[in-house]
Amino acid sequence: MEPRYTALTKLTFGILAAVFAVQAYEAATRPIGTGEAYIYDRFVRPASRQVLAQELPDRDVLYSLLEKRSVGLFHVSPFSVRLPGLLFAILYLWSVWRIGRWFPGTGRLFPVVVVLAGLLPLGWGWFWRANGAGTALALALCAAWLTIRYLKQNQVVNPLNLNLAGACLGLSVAARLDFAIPVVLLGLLFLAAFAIRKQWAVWADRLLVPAAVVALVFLVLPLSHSHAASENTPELTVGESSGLQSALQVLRASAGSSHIRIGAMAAVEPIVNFYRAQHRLTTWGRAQRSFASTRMDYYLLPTSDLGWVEQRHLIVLYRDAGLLLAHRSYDAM
Amino acid sequence: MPVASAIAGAAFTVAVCLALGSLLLRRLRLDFHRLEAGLFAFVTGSACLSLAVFVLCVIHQARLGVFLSGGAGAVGWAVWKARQDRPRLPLPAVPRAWLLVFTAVFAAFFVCYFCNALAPEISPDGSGYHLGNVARDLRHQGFAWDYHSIYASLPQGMEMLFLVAFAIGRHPAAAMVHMTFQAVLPLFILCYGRRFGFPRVGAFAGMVMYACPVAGIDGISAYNDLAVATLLFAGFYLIQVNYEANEPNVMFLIGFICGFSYAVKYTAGLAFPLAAGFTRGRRFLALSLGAAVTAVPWLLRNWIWLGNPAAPFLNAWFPNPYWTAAAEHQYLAGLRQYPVFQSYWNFSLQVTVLGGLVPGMIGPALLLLPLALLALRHPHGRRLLLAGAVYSTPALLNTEVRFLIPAIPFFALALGLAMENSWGALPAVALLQAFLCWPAIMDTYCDRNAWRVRGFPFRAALRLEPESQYIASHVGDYALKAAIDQAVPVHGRIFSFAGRAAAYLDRDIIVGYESTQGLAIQEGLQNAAAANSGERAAVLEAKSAGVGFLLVNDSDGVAENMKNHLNIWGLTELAAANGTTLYRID
Repeated sequence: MEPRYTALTKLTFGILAAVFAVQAYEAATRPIGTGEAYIYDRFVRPASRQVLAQELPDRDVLYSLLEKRSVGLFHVSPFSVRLPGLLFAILYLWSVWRIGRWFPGTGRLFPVVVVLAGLLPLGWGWFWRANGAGTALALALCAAWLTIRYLKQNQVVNPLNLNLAGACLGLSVAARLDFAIPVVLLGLLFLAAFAIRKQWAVWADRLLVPAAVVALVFLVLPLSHSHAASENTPELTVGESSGLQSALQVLRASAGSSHIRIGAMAAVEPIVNFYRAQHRLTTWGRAQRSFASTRMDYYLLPTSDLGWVEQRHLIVLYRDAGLLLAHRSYDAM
Repeated sequence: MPVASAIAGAAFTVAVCLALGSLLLRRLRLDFHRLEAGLFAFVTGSACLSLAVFVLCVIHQARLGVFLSGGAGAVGWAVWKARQDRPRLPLPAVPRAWLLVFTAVFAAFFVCYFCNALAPEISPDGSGYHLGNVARDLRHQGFAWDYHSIYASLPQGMEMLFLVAFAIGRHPAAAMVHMTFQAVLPLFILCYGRRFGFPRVGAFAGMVMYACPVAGIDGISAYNDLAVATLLFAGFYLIQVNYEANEPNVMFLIGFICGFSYAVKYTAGLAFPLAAGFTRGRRFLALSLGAAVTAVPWLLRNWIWLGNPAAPFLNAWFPNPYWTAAAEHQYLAGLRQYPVFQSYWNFSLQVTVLGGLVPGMIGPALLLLPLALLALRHPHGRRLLLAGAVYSTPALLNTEVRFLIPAIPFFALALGLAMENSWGALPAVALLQAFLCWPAIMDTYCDRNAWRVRGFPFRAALRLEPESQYIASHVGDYALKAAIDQAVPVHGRIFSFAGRAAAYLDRDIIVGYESTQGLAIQEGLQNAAAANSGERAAVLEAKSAGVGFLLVNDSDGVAENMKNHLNIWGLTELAAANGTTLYRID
């Protein structure tokens, strides 16, 4: 019988723990991204009734709900909006660990498989970003683990664990709608495994139905907006994000306690609104994407719009990393 | 007084139904369990009462005194007979937690529906032809043989019940009779589950059905869809009972209910072939005899009266002077004209969640209906799915979601059977449906134009808000009621291009598209307006057909021409309100 914990498994555990610590650090220090700020601004900040009333498709329903809870507890900050995803990283790593223990065992392959499987999505930032992708992945993998365990020892395991696996599949889709197809494929894979054992009824009752019911509970109302066109939210690069934070500090210093209106390009607008909520800047009006026909006090634009800025005699307050912050000149006012 | 009389009218009608039904069941020597005996007594009694009122309408004795004396006699007789009854056995118990949840959901929605049904009737078809027919029948103390309209020629099995309630408590009483069928249906579903060994599924399906938004608004209106759904389910229930005890009397009762379903709505005629199929033709004579008792009177009425037993349909087979095959074709084509949807998904959302493009919705939880296919594993599931599929076919011919109502109990039960073995799924879905279908919650997500219960009109229900004010705020035509009452003689006739709230306008209204006569008048007026000549002749042609008044909407093609050239047409404008003008033909 193989020992339960070898030096290799301990080393693997240590690596995963270190990786998680790095993720937590990233979550705490990285500036907020456009997509993250967009989810917060459109689906977390407004009341549920307002969310339902707006014609915008929410693809991260479960994550939005968890984020709402987190923000309610810890106030708005990049870390608080990322916290749910970070916690699901633990579930993900646990699932990888468990599946790894079952698949390659505790031999030399174990640390390689587990560290690779653990590192890849973590390396891509799936868990420190405030969106439902990492959560969905963790839940799908947890469902896979629970199902594998049932299939391995179905005489011993409480069959309710299989219901839990079904619920995890449904939650996975609810966390990120893009996971619908992978989850369906995973479900079909499970169906094949159960069908071989002539247990397809177990699959239907304990996986399919819970998955469908859980997904329905979370998605039924948000899906009523699924036909609506989503807003364009191009992501900023890391450099642009850092530059934007500097620009916002300049803007804050410049505006003081005056009531201001801000026009911003699509990639920046959600971040400005997030910044406004984070620092409770009640004198700032909500940043607007469509400002061509409205006079704003400040503009956050790409540097390629410099000509437009000069044409309107705006004063450039900040210019770096492809972004510029301009202020309406007093003459123009 | 209107509140008390409405409740009394409905209660009296329901009591007479129960009395007649219990007498019939005793006569047939059928033994049911405690709750289901009451439910079957109600539905079979409603068929008996409808038949009795039909006879009274034929002989023009349909009046309050006859209803009260006959009804009181029936109730007294039934009570006297009931004294000889031995106690009935209860059905297998429902788990206590399920019973509590079911009772809570049922009670909450019942209060909501009761309040809405008690408010003045404002539904389009209820205040239009359903109670329009009833009001006309009461005015004439029977069928108005000289009045021809496609809606008057439809079988009026439900309107016969409405007539009794209406004679006592007017419009809301009729709506409350329909609401009784709505309340009976979930109880039937619960009993079905209890009797056949899946009480949790019965409670689940009962809740899903009762909370269903389109069933909610339809049930509190003077329509007939919930009555149809209840009757079809009762017939199906009896077919399953017949599997246990194959008796000719059960088959007769199945036929009796199938026939009455047909008498309430043509589309429910599907019940008879389905029953014959389920019973594989055994005891077909008893089945047919039962159906004949309740259905044939309506066939005969139309055959003798209009020359078409299936009026207003099948005019190509039974040509008659009252409606043509071409007009029928055009009318039916209009009914099945679904709006264009971006995708099947969008269509599903409209039917279940949004309810704007197709009027009404069946409830978000029923998005899970594809899972009901898992019930194919279960013998009951297969039968339920077959019945649901058959009873949903009329929805292909009419775009209104209410045409799906008769299929929902079957699909809800099949869905329940499919999810029965999944821990927590049944209560989760039932409570989700109940929560999301509560009026205040629906406002947050469904289309603002979706046909649904919109809240608790307490003030209107208790008449703290004047009845006329409430009706006028919802039924546009009501604003002209006073003018019509004053200007149009009691037996005077009005022509209208569009359907009207005939239940509130106590005069016979000839609607353009509803009869050959109406079409002739409509074409005459439209042609004259288009050609700018022959206006006076067209109006006189209408007058020669007995029409002395016109109701014209501003949106009607002839409206502007008439308004600008009153002298040429030979009309006098009597009143105008809400975009409709009343003219007198001089």
